[in-house]
Amino acid sequence: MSENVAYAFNGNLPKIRVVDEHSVQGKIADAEVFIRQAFQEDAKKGYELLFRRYHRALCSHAVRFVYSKEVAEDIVGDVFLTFWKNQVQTKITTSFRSYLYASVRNRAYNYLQWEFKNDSDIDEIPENVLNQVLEETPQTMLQYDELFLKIEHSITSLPPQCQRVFLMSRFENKKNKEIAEELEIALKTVEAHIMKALSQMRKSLDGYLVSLFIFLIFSNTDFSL
Amino acid sequence: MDKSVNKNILFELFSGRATPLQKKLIEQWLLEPENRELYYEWLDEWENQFIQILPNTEDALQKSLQKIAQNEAYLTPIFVEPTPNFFQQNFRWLAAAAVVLLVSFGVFITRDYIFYKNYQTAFGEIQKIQLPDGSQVSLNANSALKVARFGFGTKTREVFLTGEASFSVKHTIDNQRFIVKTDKNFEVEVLGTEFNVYARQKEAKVVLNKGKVKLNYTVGKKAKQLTMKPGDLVTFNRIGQAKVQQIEQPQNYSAWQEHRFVFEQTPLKEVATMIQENFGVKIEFRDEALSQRTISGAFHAENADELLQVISELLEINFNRQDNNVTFFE
Repeated sequence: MSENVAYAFNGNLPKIRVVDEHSVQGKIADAEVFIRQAFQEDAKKGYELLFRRYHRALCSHAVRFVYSKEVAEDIVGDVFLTFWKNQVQTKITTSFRSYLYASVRNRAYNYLQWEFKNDSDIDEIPENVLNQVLEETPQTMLQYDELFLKIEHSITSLPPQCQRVFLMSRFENKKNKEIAEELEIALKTVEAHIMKALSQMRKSLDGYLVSLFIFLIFSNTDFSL
Repeated sequence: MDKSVNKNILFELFSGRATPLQKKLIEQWLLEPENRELYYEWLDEWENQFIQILPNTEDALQKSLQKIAQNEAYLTPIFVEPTPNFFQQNFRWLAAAAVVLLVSFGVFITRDYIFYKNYQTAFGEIQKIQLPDGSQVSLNANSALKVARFGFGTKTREVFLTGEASFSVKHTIDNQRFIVKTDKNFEVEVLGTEFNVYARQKEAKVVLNKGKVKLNYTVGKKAKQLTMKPGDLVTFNRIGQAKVQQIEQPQNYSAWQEHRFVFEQTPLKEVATMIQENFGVKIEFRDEALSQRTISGAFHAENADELLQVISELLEINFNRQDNNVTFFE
């Protein structure tokens, strides 16, 4: 490893940045250099640049986990707000990109856990549940990849009508009644389709969420010791 | 630098086409922090190529900035600096406020002393207490009793107990209740009677000699109630559930008042706990079997040494004492 890991800064930005343009690290560091400069000049400007640069792709990533446009956008919005509240740009040691993607995945995972563990009718998710921070390791990174692929698979294996109803509900934000009218089916049928989709999702994820969760607990305990 | 993993392989991974071996390779590759950076760079590139939804970024940004502005508007007053001569202007008021604050703080930290009379016994010490209403309390060793200085006997009769004590409660003309509160999950409510309360770390129990008492206790969040008859022994386990037993000689449970110790097929292990609680002497057994042996009879002992002597003679075993650590062996 060479010494030019320019993105690894702590607190104040280094005044002199050694960038070797032939090395990969140099390139990574450079991709966000404008955003970092903007943050230094005016934090709000930096925030706006950062938001515009990553918002869309992060929403797209989040939706692979939660399969709801609304929830995905909420998650990304919260991640950005947390970034601002904690003034992350002053303490971060990785690229903004890594921080944002890891936070979105973490939060999406906490959301899934909450959605499928609690079939109760609590509407509010407790903030502390969403804010649990899980340590990142190569294993957890790959497990997140497997998780969203698994969810995709469970959705594509639904019967066509069921899938259609589910996506209309979660992506077009349509009320069950609207879906029933549009597809000319009974309201009960719409509800049954959505229930079925959710239970299928839960079934294919159940063991998985538990195992990932246990794994993360263990790595957390190690961490806290 | 490790070039085993490239963008194509990662794209395959994100699309669910990577083989288990490739996954293993990626896992290895991710151990390097700069590769993790690359991973997220390529993930971002991949997401941008295969976008799933089209959120309205501008709207979202405006909303986000609004929220930030609201938050900051809400927070700013905290950072408003006081006018420079704030202290001079309000000196009199501040001084008065400081005096009030100081006095209430003083009352607050000494409130226990001001409002309550505390009785506390050392290891091996038994104290007889006469309460203002004429009731008698024997406070066993290593225990504490708190009695309100004001109002005791006029409105309610309430005492707080940690440890063990025997009560002989005077019945008042107006049938006033007498309540023993504990830091466990229960309290004892009586009219006039004799009973023994034991509320130590390990367990808690109440033995009734005469009369009638009511136990108010909680299991989890549920409040429960129980009425005891003479000769009843109620034991509370760790989660606060109560068990009622009828015993033949309830007075044995308060024999400690006369420095008598009454055992009935009591395992040595329990005797050891009792000695530790009352005399502060820690007891160990060289082998486990010894702690299971039982002991019966009534013994008089003023201190731990006398009791240890009796036990060792009775069971024909030896003990070693070093300060407050005792080991029994055969």
